[in-house]
Formats: sequence, C-alpha cells, structure tokens
Amino acid sequence: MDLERRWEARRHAVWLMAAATVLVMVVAVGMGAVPVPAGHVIGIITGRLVPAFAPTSSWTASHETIVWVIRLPRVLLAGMVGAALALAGATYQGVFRNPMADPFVIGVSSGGALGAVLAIVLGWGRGLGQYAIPAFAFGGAVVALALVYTLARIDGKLPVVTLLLAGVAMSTILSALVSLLIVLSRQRMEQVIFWLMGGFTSARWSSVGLSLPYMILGALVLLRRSRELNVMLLGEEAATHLGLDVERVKRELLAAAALLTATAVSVAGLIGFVGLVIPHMVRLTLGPDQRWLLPGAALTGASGLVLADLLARTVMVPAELPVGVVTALVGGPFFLFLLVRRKKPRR
Amino acid sequence: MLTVDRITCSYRNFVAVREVSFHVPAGAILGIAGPNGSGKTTVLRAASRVLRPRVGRVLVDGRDIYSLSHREVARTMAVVSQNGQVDVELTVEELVLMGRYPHLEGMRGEQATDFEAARRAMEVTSTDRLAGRLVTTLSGGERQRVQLARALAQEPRLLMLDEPTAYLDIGYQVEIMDLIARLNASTGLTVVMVMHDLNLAARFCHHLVMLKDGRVRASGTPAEVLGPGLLQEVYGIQVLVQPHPLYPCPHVVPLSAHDHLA
Amino acid sequence: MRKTFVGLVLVVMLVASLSGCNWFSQTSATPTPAPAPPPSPWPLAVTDRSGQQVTIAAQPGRIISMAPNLTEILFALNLGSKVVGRTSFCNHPPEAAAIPSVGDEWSPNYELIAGLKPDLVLAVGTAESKIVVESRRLGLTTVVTQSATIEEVFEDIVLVGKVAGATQAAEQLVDTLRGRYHAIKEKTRDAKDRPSVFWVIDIDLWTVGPGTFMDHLTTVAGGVNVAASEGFAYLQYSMEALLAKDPDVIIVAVPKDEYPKLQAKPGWDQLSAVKNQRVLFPDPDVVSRPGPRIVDGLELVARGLHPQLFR
Repeated sequence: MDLERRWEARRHAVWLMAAATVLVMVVAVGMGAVPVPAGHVIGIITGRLVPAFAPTSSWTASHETIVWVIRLPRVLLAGMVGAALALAGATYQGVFRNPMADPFVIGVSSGGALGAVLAIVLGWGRGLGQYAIPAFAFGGAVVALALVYTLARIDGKLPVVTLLLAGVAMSTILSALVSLLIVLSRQRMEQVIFWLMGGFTSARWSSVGLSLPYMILGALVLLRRSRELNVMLLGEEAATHLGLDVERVKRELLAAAALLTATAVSVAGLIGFVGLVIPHMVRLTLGPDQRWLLPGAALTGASGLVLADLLARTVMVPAELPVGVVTALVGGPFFLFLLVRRKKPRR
Repeated sequence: MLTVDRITCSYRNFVAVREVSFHVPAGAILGIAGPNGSGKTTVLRAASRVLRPRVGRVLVDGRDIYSLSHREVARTMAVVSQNGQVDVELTVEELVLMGRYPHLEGMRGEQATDFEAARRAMEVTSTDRLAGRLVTTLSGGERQRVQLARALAQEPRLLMLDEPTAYLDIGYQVEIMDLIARLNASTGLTVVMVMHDLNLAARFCHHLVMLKDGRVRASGTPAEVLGPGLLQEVYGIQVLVQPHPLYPCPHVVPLSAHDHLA
Repeated sequence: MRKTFVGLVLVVMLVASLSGCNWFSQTSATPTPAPAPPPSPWPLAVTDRSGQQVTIAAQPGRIISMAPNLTEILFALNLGSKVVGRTSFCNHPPEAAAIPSVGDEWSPNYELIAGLKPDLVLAVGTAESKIVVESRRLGLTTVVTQSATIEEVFEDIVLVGKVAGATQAAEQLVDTLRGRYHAIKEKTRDAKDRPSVFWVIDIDLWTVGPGTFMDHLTTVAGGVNVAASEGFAYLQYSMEALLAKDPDVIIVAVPKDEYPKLQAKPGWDQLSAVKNQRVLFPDPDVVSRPGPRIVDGLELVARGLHPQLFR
C-alpha cells in the first residue's frame, strides 16, 4: 500500500536522523579548542567506561581532563537540551495549533530566568552551592507555569487562547522584573547576561545526571502521546468527537513539555530558536504526523544544538560565542533555505 | 438510540438552548431545522458530548452520555461538523485513518482491520481515488466527502452531521444526501443532521425537529412540521407549501414580502 | 522509531548512570612531591581570599592569570616568563600581549585552560565565582584574590608573590608602594577641604557607590564620593541628578574615544566642575585596577583633588 511505503520511508528517515545524531556527537567530542588525537579520545572514553579494557595511556592528564571532564558532558548536555527544547516546541505548536509557539511561549523561560537571576543577584539558595542557580531556575519555571495555568483555567478547562494570553502577559511581567534586577545590580550584570544568553560552558557530569531523569520522563510522556497529539491537530472539538479526553491529554502534554523546558532552562539558560525552528524543519521533511515529527524533532534538536555548540566553542578560539547566537545565525538561513526550496508542493 | 432529555445549554450567561427534548429511534434519520441562531448546532454539540448541558441529560442506548468514556462515545457516534476544514498537511488516507483512533488499543498501531475499515469508508464515499492527495488541496465538495469517510471509518451506529450540504453546489448536495440515505437504508445507520435547506430536509429526513429561540417549536414527520402557518411564525416570511411533484414529501416555496399570493 | 529513541535514551542513561562510580573522579590528583631539602618552601599551604586552603606542590612554572590586575602583579614581580595564559582583558604591560589568551574573564575557554597544563591558576573572585568553581573542578591548583582597598591590594601582591615563588620580590614591591601610599595619605589627611567627587565609569553616567574600589580611592585621596551614601555599589545618575549634586570634581574613567560623546551631553557644560576645569581624565585601568599601578592612580586622584598639596 502506498501509505505503508510512505510510513516506511519516514521510519527510515528517523533512523537516519538517529545515526546522524550519534555521528555529530562523536565528531563534537573529537573536536575542540585544543586538538586531541582521535585515538586518544577513544582511548580515554573506553578507559573510563570499561576500565578493564583501558588501553595503555599515551595521553596526558590534561587531555583526559579535556575529553572526559569538559567535552563529553558538554556534548551530552547540549544533545539533551536540544532534544528537550525541540520536543517541547513541537508539542506546543501541536497543542496550540500555532506555528509561532515555542517552548518559552507560556512563561516557563521568564520564570526560569527570574529564578536564576534571584539566585545570582540576591544570592538566594547559597547553601545549595553550584546547584543554587539551576534549582532556582527550575523552581521559577515551575511557579510561573503554575500561575499561568491557574489564571487561564475557566470552568475546569484550559482554553488555548486564554493560556497563550496569560503566558504572554506573565512573560512580560517576569521579564520586566528580571530587567529591574539587572539594573539594580551592575556588579553581577555580566553573570546574569551570560546566564540569560544560555550555553554549556559549565556543563558537567552532575548536570547531565541531574537533568536526565526529568528529560527522560518528559520525553517518554510526549512520545507515547504522539498519536493523541495527531488527533488534536484536527482541533479540540474534532478530537473530542474522535474519543479523545482533550482536557486531560492537553494537561498531560503541557506538563511534560513544561518539565522538559524547565529542565533545559535550569541547566543551560535561555537558548532560543531551537524549540521554534527545529520542529518546523522536521515538519518540512517528515510531514506533520507527530509519530515521526516528535522523535525526528528530538534527534534533530539534539544534533543541531551539539553542532551549534561545537561551532560556538571552536570558531573564534579563545573566545566562545553564545550558543544562541550560533543557532540563530546558522539555523536561521538554513531554515529559510528549506522554506524557499519547498515552493513545489510536497507529496 | 439517542434521547435528548430537557437539556438547557448556555455559553457564559447566554442561554442558547432551553429544555429541548427529542428522541431518535435506531435506524431513523432525524433533521434539526430552524432559523439562524435558533440553537441547532448547540443541540448537536450537546448531543455529541462537546458541550455539557447546564440542565438535562443526553442518553445513548439509555445510558447517560457522561457515564460513558470518550472512546465509547466515539465508537458509537461520529460527527461531521460544519467547520471541518483541516489545515494540517495530511493525506486523505491519513485523515480517514484517524477515524480509527477510538478503536486502537493501547500502544498498538493500526491493524489490518483498521486499514480495511478506512479503505471501505473511502470506497463508499468515492474518495479512494483521492487517497494520496493532501487534504489542504481539496475542493469543498471533496473535503466534505473526506470528512464523511473519516466519520464512517469510525464505524459508528449514529452519525451526526452539521449542515452537510453547506457550501456545496446542488450536484454535490444531492450526491451527499443520497449517500447518507443509502447508508441508512443499507446498514441501518442512525442519522441526526442539522438542515438549513427545508426541501432537502423534507425529502431525506424521517423526522424533523423545528427549533425557534432555543426551544422546540414543533416536531414530527416533515409533513406534520412543515405547515405554512408554522413556517411563517418561525421564519417570519410567507411560504407556499405544496406536495412535491416527484417525491412523497412536502415542497416549500418561500415568497418575497411583496408577493401576496392567495 | 519510538524504540530507536528509547534505545538512544537508554544508552545516554547508561553513560550517565556511571556518574555514581569513581570513573568520574578528577583526573589530576595532587601528586605527593619528593622530600625537599629543608629551606625549600614547597609544598606550600596557604589560605587564599576565598577561604580555601590551597597546597602548591612545587614552584609554579606554568601560571594562568585570570584577571588583568593579576597579570600586572606577575609582571611587576618579574614572573612574566612563567605566565602561559592570560585573559583578553590583560593589556598591561605590553609584553603580556605575546602570551596566549584563554578568552575573557567572564567566559574563558576552559578547554584551552586545561590544555595549557597550568600548575597554578590565579583568579579574582570568591569561592562561588564561575571561573573559580570551574577551574577547581578541572583539578587545577587555583588561588583566589580579592581586594576592595589599597591595603588589600598589597596583601594580594604578597599572596601572589608567595604562591608564585617570589616572596621577596613581592615584599620589596609592597614596601615601596606602601611608602608612597602613606606619604599621599598623610598629605591628604591634613587637607582642610574635602571636595565632592563624581566618577563617570560609563558615558551613560553610571557611577560607583559605597564599597567599591573607586569609592575607597576617593576617600583616601581626601575627597567625598557624591554617590557614597547610595544603596548600590554601581548605579546610574541622570544628568538632572548630577546637576543637582554639582560635584566639585568629576573623574572620567572611560576610554579616550568616548570623551566627545560625554562632553556633548546636554547639561555637561553647566556643571561647576566643567566650568572650573576640574575634570580629571585618567587612564581607567590605572584608577580601577587593584594592581601595582594603583598607587599611581591614587596619586593622580589626590593631585586632582588637592593640587595645592602636591606642588
């Protein structure tokens, strides 16, 4: 059947994306400001993972530090954050049936920003040490989201338009508070601005380990619900007619997407563009069926952000570009190219 | 099959439907008619579990619709709404296959029976030749037939349609109505549809419910309901009602305000 | 395809779950040095300004300076040849330009830092500063300095000298600087007037409040910082507020090429300090950098505030 061939092709495309993601991650671990021979990179990683097979170390301790303490967690974290943001973006675009939706649309990002800035500027949660900023960012994101949900609820329902408006209003208020705090604390301004721009310079194994459970939980919920999200594309009323408990599924999807966003924001700050554009890119190649779109977006988000971070840390050595600048400067034109090339109708 | 029991529905503080009751026996075709704003679509939304009535109940096979799960309802009834335009770039086949959603079990995908049901639904509605087309590229008539195919893929016992002939030329209008009548006759499918065109309603419906200002003004067979006095009261114009020259049903001719025919 | 993703996730999870094991421990354990002859100070244990007890195993030969004032101190102690990395802000002395940069102080390239294999990283900040946290995470011997007063600058110079193996040079340098410092302080202490001072650290009239280095410098130089009683360390004045305060002296600590923009601001000409030609234009680095040139900076400010005392 024609349909099955098409689905088969998409399945293959997703596999291809998975392979590409692995490849990109391997390349990204092998490259950096300090050249480390590929053999050493492999040796260092296998030596750490399977000490029994540890090859005789012909590399220096600093190479081991660079590969194992700096690069590998950084690449993994970039991949996780990219996947999380792209998944969340695709979900919001589906639930809101709005192509402009991104992971930050309902106030999660500005809540996270406010939390982080409170930790940076006022020194809240100092007892948490290096976890103070991520913990407060996560908390801020969750509180902002809870506020938006509460405000948008009408008769036990969560109308999309109200939710979007409440989200936009909340974002505006919280962003204003962030700006106020920045102005009041010039001493810490640089730190705040670097956090707001987002990035992976302080990625570490503990951030990978801490965020992974949340990311897996959020991703599994969304991937399991891809068929429901498909039905919701037809509109909420039509989805109800097809037997979907729209309000319940919507709550579940939004909560999972928000969990992913909050986690991403807490470990990497505000990285724009990925959550908005990656789902569109994947939609242009795989179509709107969420069963392929969601995994495709997760994989493309992962490889895309790993690649962007690789550029960010290698293009202008010793300086590092903010990764958000790279995602916008490289991803933007590429997305426009896809958009223009698609003038012929897709079949 | 379907019983609507004294339902009152409101949007915020606007009451759209007051104490509406009617019963649809299995195998019947029931038409809901009435002027714009009389509450026809609201009744349909309440009967299909989208809008919860403030007061009153909707019963399917004697059971309150809110005691059933969403899936159970969707396996019993399918709805073709008026604004069924889909702006997602799915193919016709993919859209029709979505009608199988209430039948899918757990995490398992579509089975052979699901593909088969979708294929039959497309054949019946002559949309099988559109299978690979994107739904965004269809004409109004094609889209309406595809929506019908999607609803039939649900294999419902009750089909609800909101003005199935709106925006269609007379060719498509008759084609769609014939198709519905054929399905009703051959499979015993129960049909509830909101009808704007009184003559199509008279010709294809076994029962008519006439709404005015959110209340039931009259109900019965088309011949009982479509009297000139009642129509003048409900629609505010004079009409001529004659026996249809070809079919055993009344035929309504609306008159202009200045034509005073005896 | 769902299986694919789950599989991928599982791989990642497996990798991360290893984090509980010792494979994730730091690479560079501090090696125990060979027993040294008694007069050698190494290994040396010091408590740095972050409150951390740091052990320096042996005389450092590869130092990374993570702040411009530290680079200046190292060069002033004739340790320039041991500096293998610096920040992009380290512009003094000019020889420093030949040393590879590891990026700016706020977001350096940690891979480069590790790649330079430093045996000592010097930073300004606190135990929580990102550079300090990251550098220690990489297992690098990291000494933190932090000075809010000129006396503390002297302490930092001594600390740097000690950990870098130039204790004597540091003490000599501090003796000289302290002598000059006290001479200036004595002169300004007896000054009868205390001119009010406004610092311009950004042409949008950002200025310094209490607790800042420049506020301290003003006091020692025998002046009163007009923003000394504000609630913030750094804050912005409007031209109106500045006109209302109408300070006796204005110190413009911005790059030279920005002077015209400042002077073109409406109201600037109306300020008494401008009319009386009591505006100082020092090299911003000299008056703000807590390094060996700070006494030059102090002298410059004191001379500007009390020209009659420095004839």
